[in-house]
Amino acid sequence: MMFSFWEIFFFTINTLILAYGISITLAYLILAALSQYELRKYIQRNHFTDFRNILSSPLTPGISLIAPAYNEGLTIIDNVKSLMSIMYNNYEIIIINDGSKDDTLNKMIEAFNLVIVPFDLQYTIATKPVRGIYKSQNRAFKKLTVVDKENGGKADALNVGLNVSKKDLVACIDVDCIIEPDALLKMVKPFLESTKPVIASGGVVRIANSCIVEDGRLVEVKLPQIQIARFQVLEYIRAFLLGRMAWSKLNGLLLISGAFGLFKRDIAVKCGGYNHNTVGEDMELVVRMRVYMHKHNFPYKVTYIPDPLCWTEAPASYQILGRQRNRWARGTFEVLKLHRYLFFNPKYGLMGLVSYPFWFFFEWLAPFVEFSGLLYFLTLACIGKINWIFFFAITLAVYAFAFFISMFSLFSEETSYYKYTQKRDIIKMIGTALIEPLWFHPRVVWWGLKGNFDLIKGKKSWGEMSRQGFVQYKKKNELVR
Amino acid sequence: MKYFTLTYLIQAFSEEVNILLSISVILLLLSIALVLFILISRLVKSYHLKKEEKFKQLFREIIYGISVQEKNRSDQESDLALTELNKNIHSVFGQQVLIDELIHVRKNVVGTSADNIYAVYLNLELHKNSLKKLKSISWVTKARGIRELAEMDYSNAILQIEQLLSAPQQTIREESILALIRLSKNNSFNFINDYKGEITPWIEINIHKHLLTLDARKLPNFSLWFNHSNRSVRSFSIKMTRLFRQIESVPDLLLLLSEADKDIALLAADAICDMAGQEYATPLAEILSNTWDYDQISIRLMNTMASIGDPDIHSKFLTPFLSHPDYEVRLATVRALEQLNGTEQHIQVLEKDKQVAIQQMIAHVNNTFLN
Amino acid sequence: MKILICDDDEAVVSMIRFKLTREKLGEVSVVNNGRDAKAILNDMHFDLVITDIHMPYCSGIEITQYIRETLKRSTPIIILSAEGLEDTVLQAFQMGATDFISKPFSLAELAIRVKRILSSQ
Repeated sequence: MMFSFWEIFFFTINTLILAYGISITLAYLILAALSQYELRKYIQRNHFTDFRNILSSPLTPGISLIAPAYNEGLTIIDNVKSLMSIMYNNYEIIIINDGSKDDTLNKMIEAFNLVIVPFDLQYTIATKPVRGIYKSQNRAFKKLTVVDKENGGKADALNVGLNVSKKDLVACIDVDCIIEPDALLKMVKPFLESTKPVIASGGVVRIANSCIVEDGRLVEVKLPQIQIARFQVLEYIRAFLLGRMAWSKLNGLLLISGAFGLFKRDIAVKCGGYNHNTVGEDMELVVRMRVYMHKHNFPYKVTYIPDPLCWTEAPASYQILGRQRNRWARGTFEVLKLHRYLFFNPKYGLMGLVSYPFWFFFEWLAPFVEFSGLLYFLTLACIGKINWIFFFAITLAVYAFAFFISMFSLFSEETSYYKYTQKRDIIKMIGTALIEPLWFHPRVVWWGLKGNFDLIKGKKSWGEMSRQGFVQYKKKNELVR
Repeated sequence: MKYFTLTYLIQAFSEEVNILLSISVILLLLSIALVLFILISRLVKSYHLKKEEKFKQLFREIIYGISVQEKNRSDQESDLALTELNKNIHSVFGQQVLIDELIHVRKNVVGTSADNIYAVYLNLELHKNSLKKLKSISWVTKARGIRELAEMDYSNAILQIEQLLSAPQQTIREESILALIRLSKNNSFNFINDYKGEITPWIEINIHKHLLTLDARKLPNFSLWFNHSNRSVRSFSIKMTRLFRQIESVPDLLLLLSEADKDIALLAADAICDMAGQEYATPLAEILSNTWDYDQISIRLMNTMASIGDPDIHSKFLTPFLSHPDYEVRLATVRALEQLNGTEQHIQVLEKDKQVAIQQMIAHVNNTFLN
Repeated sequence: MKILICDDDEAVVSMIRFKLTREKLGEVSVVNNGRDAKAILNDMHFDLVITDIHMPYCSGIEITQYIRETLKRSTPIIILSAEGLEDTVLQAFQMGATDFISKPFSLAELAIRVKRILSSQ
């Protein structure tokens, strides 16, 4: 029997797409099941934990909270005050004013009675020049340090924080996030109880839209009133409760969200701190820290805490959301490209064999596959090669799967943290899950694609130039040698 | 009509389509089941909450009443209260709520009130409930039982709990250690002599928290375990020596400084830094030069010298460290010299740029807001 | 004599209320968080405030500061806290607290301290 070229061609493409679809489905199912198991265990264990014992103990590691601020004049005072009411014994707050053009710095100087101090800063990690370091004259604000520096972007500001900090652990946060008062107590626990050294611990980020906030503190959790934010609530619950928990169990977590993560400072510094040439600096640092540990053959762990500890305002318009997703896509691509040597590299264990390929195939490649699949389908439809019954059946199956995963994540939330308590909320979330695959998901795919194309296009026109503006600034700390 | 029956439809489709359709139906049914589960769980949750709240309200008033009673009061009042409580704990649920409430109250009080609560626990035979939990198959229940007995100081359970010390489940092991330390009043640390497991910082925190409530004079001399074969017991005992200021162990700690295991040496340095008196200044100054290669240990000893050193005798041991390759060590040296009799006089011999760098450190360490 | 107790722990406030009422030391009001504490302090006069440090919305230290600096009152304040850390205790006294009691505490002792503070007024 002879096959024509086209028959073989269609057969190959169809099989590839089918294989991709089946493997992504299986991957998500496995992750969801693992996450659920791990989440249960976490919650049962914490039932026995009196976090207040950490609060008063002299045996806890010191933590520096590092929060970069750029043009935050309107809210900075509230934000800093809310950071000061965090429950932890040995911690300090380092606010980095990243060359704001507004009155961010002056407002802080006035509100907290700051004076410039002769801090002998070492540029262990090269950063833009620091213009001054401020401390409060009021002992009540002893925990606060404010650093004023020339603008250099988020990664650069965080690196200044790493240079200023003298504590064992650093928590890198977005200054406009609302951090729960017990966040540090919960985040630090993995560092205390693990027999393997923990190098980083990530926290959950939840959506704060429509929640009631007073004086920078979350008073009541509410489901967002606008649909676009509800899509993101569903997305975040799915990603955090059904994805990262499993990666943490496997010790294969690659991304700790930039909004809230806790790191071992010495290792972050030894790796050279945040990379300011990528917009995915949060993921890049975790990958680099892991690579560092592998290269030195040190045992280590990257953990993750499922408690909702950090709340952030989600983009409320498709335009801003599009920009955010575009940036995420670029970040993912840049990190994957930078560390491409990990791809199925057995030297890096699970990270090389599972985590990296997962990110490559199912996070980065997915929008391309989906989009080209759509084009392929349209072409076939035009030349009349579609088995419509089969098409509808498979579409229905995929839709049912998407809905099932969403329901599973809602189930997971319901049996764990149960934050959305109103009866109407559950109906709204089911509605959101029903329309998400048709209305929201295509946009996410499109933004992801666009991010990748922007990056490829941008590389040629302005990629290298922007780097020239960055002045390498290193104080001569080789003075004594 | 037959065109619309299910069997006709199924026959009409190819096998693949049927598979896909059945997958879809299964997934949708599962989704609906999940939704139903969520809704039902909400009902159950609110029912339980209401029931619990009802019990709690009832118990609380009585428990608070009992807890504020003074010693040697007529027992009539408490008998009445006990009968009232007894009426409501026929269900396992009620018993659990009462145990939780008793523990909760007892955590916050000491003295007569705490004794009163313990008396209620015993009189209502709730310890039997807790002891039964130790035999459960579920580790959560087991751990909960251990916790309850420990919180209530029910020391008759020591033997049963000791058997759980080597349980495969981490939480059970942790709970057992803590419980044993709480319960065995006279020599709390017997079990540690041949303890093989790990004492994580988390357990240390909890043990320390409990030891704080005891009379410091009754604590064992932790230096007994400085050379234990289990490394985590060693570091635990060094930390406790420091936190409870067992000054008589300083000579032993000095020996540990030259330990090959540098993490242990560092902990010893930490302890010395907190406790060493002036009589140790000279031996420490002499050890200092041996620690050159271990930045963290040098820093600790430098801090010690800052508080116990004599400027005329010891400065000369410190000054070489002004040229140490590590910045933090240099900074600690400057800090120590500033405490003794100033750094300026020691840096004239250095090159000009080094002098400038050290002057910046002097400004840093002398600023009131930076300390 | 009017006494205000602020603590987010139901058991703690109720026991103290029970005890103080039993000893007939005064009329006791109770709030469960820092926000309500500030609100009630605005409206009413108290002869003594007993407050926990860690509460929702606003800490006991902040309440002390609020009474001393914003309301400019010299009401005696007893701070009650599970963390007996030197730093916290010092901060409490710096802000103008009258007394500090660490948890777990003895109800009898608390009652005696309250009695002494109220009679010295």
